[in-house]
Amino acid sequence: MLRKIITMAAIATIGGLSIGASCQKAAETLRSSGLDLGSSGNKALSIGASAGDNLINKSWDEEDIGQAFAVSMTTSPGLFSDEKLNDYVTNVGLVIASVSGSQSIDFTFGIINSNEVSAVSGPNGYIFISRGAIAKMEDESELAGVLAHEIAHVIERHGMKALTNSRIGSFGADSVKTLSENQLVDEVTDVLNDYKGIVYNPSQEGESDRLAVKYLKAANYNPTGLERFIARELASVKTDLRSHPPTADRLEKLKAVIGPNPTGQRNAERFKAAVGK
Amino acid sequence: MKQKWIPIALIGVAGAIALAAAEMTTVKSSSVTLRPTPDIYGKSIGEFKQGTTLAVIEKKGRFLKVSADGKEGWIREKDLEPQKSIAEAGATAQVHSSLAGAAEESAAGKNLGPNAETYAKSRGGDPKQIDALIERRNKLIDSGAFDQFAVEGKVGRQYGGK
Repeated sequence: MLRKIITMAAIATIGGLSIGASCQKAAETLRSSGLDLGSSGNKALSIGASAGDNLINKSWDEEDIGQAFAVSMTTSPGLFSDEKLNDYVTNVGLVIASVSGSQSIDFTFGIINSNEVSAVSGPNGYIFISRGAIAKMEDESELAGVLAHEIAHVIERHGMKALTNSRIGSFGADSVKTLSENQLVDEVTDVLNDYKGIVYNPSQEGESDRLAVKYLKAANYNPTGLERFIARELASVKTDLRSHPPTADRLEKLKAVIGPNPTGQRNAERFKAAVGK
Repeated sequence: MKQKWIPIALIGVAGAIALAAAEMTTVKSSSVTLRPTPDIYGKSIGEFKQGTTLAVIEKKGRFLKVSADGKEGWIREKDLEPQKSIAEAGATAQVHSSLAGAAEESAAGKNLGPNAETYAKSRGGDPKQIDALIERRNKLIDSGAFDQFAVEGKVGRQYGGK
């Protein structure tokens, strides 16, 4: 189930095929879970449990959720431990993060041990890309483009906003539940599953695409990296999905942001040496 | 002659006010990395151990510009004790010196908060793998390997902006 959810998120994130129903589903799940997710604004998410007999007094903030998200990736689908490839992906990610202008997030990068084409980002800067996605790439600027897109989602807090918005109107801000430690972890697990199931709306995807191109230019990568990867991945999926209007529109918008005669590094040779192509 | 003493006295008073306004802090974490810019992406330019007293120069975002032992640079605020006046800091530094080296970090999850560790224990997650990712990132930056990677590929802050 988790694999399916991650795949859905990845399709939305990389392929841009907006499915549209997952945020609704996440909202329903949260409503049924009865979580207190705090109020809107920065560091909005907090999950609280009040003290009582055999109960605990803890609250989870956005950083905790991000760390738990990262830990959850070690159980399913699991991380790929190749030292050389991890160094390479981290270096490319750091190049983009260093030009993003964000001083408040320490981005961390990992490789998902999966053949599926996917990339996901968690709260507070945890970015994961699959072996399958890397295998489909042709140069470093494509890897940089996908990582830049995920970094933009984190900086703009798209995932956290979706989670927070999904519960506003359903609960009072002070409706902290009384939970045991195990119950609290169960609730956090539900939140993480909802987070992984979030499908960003076209506006958020567009914003992350635009920022990704900006970061690529700022780092002297060829800004077509993201667009080329999305277009090629799109060509490999079913015709009915390929003709999905929002995706074609998204690619057109990407090209407009890139502008005429794009320049910048692709570093194809270095990429091939790093991934063993 | 009398007129000469007035400016000197004023300078003395101004200096005392400046000294009183200066703030100090001490290193909270077992060791902290000093960086040239207020972010984590610059190669390390020094390191301070737990309990070291630092003068605070300015704050930018979540980083403080500090100086000590002839070195000056940026450190994350969360790795430092709350800022104090020079007099208060003296007492705090003594306490921290006695604690220096006594901090013990768990083998796993040392980069994670207690909530994430609880989650990992209960769900069979492996905090060591996240530690490894974080330590890999820090090592690449601190060793200069990241800088070298950027230069070799002609990418990064120094090459962009086109």
